Amino acid sequence: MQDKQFDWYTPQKLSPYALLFIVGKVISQSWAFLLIFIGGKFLRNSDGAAQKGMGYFALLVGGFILIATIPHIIQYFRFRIFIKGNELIVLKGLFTRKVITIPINKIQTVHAVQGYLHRFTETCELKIETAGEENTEVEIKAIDQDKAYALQELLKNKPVTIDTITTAEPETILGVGFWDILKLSISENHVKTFLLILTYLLTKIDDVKNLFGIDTAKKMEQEADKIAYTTNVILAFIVTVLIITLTVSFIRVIIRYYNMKLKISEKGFETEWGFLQTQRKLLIKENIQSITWKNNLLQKILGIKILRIFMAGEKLTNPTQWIRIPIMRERLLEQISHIYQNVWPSQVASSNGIDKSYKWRNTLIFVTPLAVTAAVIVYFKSPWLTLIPLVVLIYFTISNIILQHNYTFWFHQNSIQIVKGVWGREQTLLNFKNVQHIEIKTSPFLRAHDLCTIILHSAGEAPFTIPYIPVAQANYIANWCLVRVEFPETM
Amino acid sequence: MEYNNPLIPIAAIPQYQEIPLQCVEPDYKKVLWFNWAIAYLFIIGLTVLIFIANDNLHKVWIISLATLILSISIALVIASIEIGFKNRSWALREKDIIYKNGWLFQSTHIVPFAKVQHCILKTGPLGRRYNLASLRFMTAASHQRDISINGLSLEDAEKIKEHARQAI
Repeated sequence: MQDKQFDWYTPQKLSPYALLFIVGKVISQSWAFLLIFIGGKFLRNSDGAAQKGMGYFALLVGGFILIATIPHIIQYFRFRIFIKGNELIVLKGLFTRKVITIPINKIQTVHAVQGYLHRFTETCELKIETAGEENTEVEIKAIDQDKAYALQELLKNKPVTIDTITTAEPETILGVGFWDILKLSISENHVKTFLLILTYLLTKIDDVKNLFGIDTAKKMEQEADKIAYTTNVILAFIVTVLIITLTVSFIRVIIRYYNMKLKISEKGFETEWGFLQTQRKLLIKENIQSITWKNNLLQKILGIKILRIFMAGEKLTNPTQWIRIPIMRERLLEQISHIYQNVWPSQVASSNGIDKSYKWRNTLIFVTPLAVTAAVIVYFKSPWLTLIPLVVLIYFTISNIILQHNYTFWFHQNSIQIVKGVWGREQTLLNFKNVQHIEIKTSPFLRAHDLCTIILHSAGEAPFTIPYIPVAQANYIANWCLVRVEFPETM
Repeated sequence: MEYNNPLIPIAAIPQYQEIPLQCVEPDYKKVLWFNWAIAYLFIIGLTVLIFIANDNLHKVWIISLATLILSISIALVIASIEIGFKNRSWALREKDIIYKNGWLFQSTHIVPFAKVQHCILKTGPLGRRYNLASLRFMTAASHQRDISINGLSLEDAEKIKEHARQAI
């Protein structure tokens, strides 16, 4: 796969281009100062005193950037990465020498990110993650592309040997083309996109007000008052919002899935995706914690599923690192899930549901008090407004009924599978061997009805929860799970 | 693809729910009383100060409401200490540890030692007076869902820690 081989036993330096990224990072961190400086220059150029003040300010900003850059430059020169025995060693530090030692078999994922600047300089940002740390263990801002890919290959083959790079070509099983992108754009969650645009605009309005003292919201209100609201104007406004939302959805899909490739080998998967920023990630099959595939109503109609693979040590709060794979045909899903779990529980075991009380308890305990409180508050403003909380109450009542009806799970000796969802569907597959900690919760109501909620905690996913199931069934699942974790030789 | 799903008799697998649980040390109740007393003295003191400083709060209904909320929360804490204490129990098995706690909302945690990354033994100033310690088991589970068993005797905590260390 790689033409060049590197001696990873010799300490490797960062790429010289890393200096560019360091300066870029410091400047980007000082963007607020720069914005004030540029804004002040444009808005107050008539005032001489203000101009003199801005001169000092420019000096201050320049000094700040210089001082902030020096420690990074020292760290650049002190940075080394290499392999010693079966450990990856990272040497870094500013005034004190910090040595990070990571046993190679503890490395969960190696993530290579390539932005357009990286592509231009033939470098990569490399992120190495282990299960023990919530944050990325080692983050290298810029390392030569060939070195990064060679290290990825080396770590992928770690169970066999770390001295040589095997040349076995993995099979490409997915490629996302233009029509797939179009289908994915159409089926994207447009409400979410609209809310994202709205939030972005609101924060920008606030920024403009804070930086330049211009009350943008007031100005917009004044301009809006001047408009004569005819049917055509309202219609044009709706169409414009719709076009902007669709365009942004399309851009989001392109950024997420453009040029996506998925390769499969005996050792796991290799994914590559990205438009402006190319990301390449190795998913070693032993480190896969659980897999989830879901679709919304539109995706369900178009036959699309979005598959997510949860890896140990993955930073859950960073969506840019999530592995989301669009599934356009059922066969592909089976092919991918086979590497994690070759027989789905739904294929061999009988289905189970959750207790019927789940639907009305959720509505009664959470939704009704909120809706009633909101109705009482808005009633004094206008009695007609009470219709809104009433509609919300009806919507959530129906949603909870459908959710309880759709909630199905299957389990066999090795794994558990859940299907849930209101309008779309979400399926999760968890192998018992990946469970870290089991929790069984009860409340007075659940105890009175001999029910409980079981939570299976794994290293790569938000807790795997099955609510309102019989205690005997939860105990059975818990005991099976413990057998699989504690007696792996019986598997 | 070959499908198989052989029947395994339930009696053949160990049943965690049949293990008798052991209550935490009775002295731990004194520690709980002390900790909550300190917390409520602070809350009541702060509430009284806010009421003295703000004239707008000098209304019978506001004072009654604040008193009612404080009384209910104190009653809940007392009930959770007195009734919930007997639910604070644990059991050590060869390959895992079981811990149960809670009063109205009860939880049972089972942590296999095979998944424990490390465990921490902690003693506080008041706990040391009563020879008590707490054990925290940390796994790789996301969202830092670790379990802490409070109110163990220092000897028990050390023995469990040693057992866990050998089992990890």
